[in-house]
Amino acid sequence: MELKKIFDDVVNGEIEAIEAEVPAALAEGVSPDVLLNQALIPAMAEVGRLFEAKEYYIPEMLLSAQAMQTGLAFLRPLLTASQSTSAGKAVFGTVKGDLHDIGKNLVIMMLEGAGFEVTDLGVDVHPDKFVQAVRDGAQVIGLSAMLTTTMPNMAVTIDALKAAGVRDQVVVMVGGAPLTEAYAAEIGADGFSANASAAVRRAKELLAARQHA
Amino acid sequence: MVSAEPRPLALAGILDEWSLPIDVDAVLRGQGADPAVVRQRRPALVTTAQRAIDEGLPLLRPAVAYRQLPVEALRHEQLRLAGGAVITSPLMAQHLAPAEQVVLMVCTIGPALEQRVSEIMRGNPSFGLALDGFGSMAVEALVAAACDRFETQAAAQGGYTSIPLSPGMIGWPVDVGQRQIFSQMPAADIGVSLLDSAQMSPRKSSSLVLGLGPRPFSEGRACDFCSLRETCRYQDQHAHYGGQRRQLRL
Repeated sequence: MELKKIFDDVVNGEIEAIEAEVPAALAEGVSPDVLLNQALIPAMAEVGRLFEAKEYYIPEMLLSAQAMQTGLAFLRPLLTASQSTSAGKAVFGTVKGDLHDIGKNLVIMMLEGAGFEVTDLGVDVHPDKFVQAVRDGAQVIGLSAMLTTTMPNMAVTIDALKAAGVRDQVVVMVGGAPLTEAYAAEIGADGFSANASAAVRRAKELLAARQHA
Repeated sequence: MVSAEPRPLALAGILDEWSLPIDVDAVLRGQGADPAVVRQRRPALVTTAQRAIDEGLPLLRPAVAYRQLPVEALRHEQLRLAGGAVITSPLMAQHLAPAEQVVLMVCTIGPALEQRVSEIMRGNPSFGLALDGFGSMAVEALVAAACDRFETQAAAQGGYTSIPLSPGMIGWPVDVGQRQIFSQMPAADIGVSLLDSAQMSPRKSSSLVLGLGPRPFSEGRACDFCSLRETCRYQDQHAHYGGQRRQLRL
């Protein structure tokens, strides 16, 4: 089983093919670590590139993410702690007062496809839950809002992190239709992304910067 | 879609008998995709879109609450309606100057579809997204059908209708506009409530103001007045309103 075939089938969202090919590759002796880092994750990086280049649409990106998750499910039990899938621990939620979740869910899927462990707090999330998430080990907090009326609760959440003394322990990213880079900076977020694919890239950049600081 | 000449509408009420024509291409557009490209490149998504229609249609409970009010005055950006209601936005001066009446509407497809999306999204995100896209297009189709109903009625009397204007459009803050509309509407009668954040519940709902008058209104698309029009992938390029004639493609 060629890694290139698995790579291509993730990029093309061929879920059923991945369901057969990953176990077949494992049976042939290909290591889980190789399958993960030389096929599945690079394939999702390519999907992200295609989406940001406006060559792929969101439903295609989702199909690929599902294909990746299908393959990952076979690998997870076999990966040792040293081969951990985790690119980082992230906790995402839609801020208090806002019930929208589709965009947040897309970001979560893409982050999982990139190897992050992601906890989804859901919608209408009180700031205290994000504070607790940091205390529980989150390295990245993601705040989503779809309305100009709920965007201010992002600043409220960041202020809650500061008041709890945990702001410096975590990277805070924000996103949602009415958000801008300027607004993110104004409220003290570390990063903003305009779409799910860019969110993955930005999360990796911010975590790497923090680890090297 | 232009309906046959309807029975004249009362000045306020609820309309709950709707046939909403939504095809696979509409569901694909509702997910931000170009149907022509997807049909060629990803036929599995076409199958998923059809399944979303098949499973989504029985979940729809489309309803429109409306109230038609005479315009008493337009002063700068303030549209004053009979009974004391006021709608304030630059959009009023820009687009409703010819209006002698306005129709306030709250449209919804009901809560069942978005509840189903929430149930399945985690386990089957591809189908969940398709179902959500179907729901979004169903709301758009309902708004278009409702506007068409009033346009047809106006045309039968030699009149015209405007572009539908919704809170959240440029120049009409969503919290201001929603409260101005909901204060005049029996929206609770169709199960729609306004949350503190000015978000409607069910989420698959829409509110708008439609001008009625004896002279043509300005022509355009609702998307023309959205701050995200430069980057949004979900725009319908073909849904025009106002002017001498409205052309709509779903």
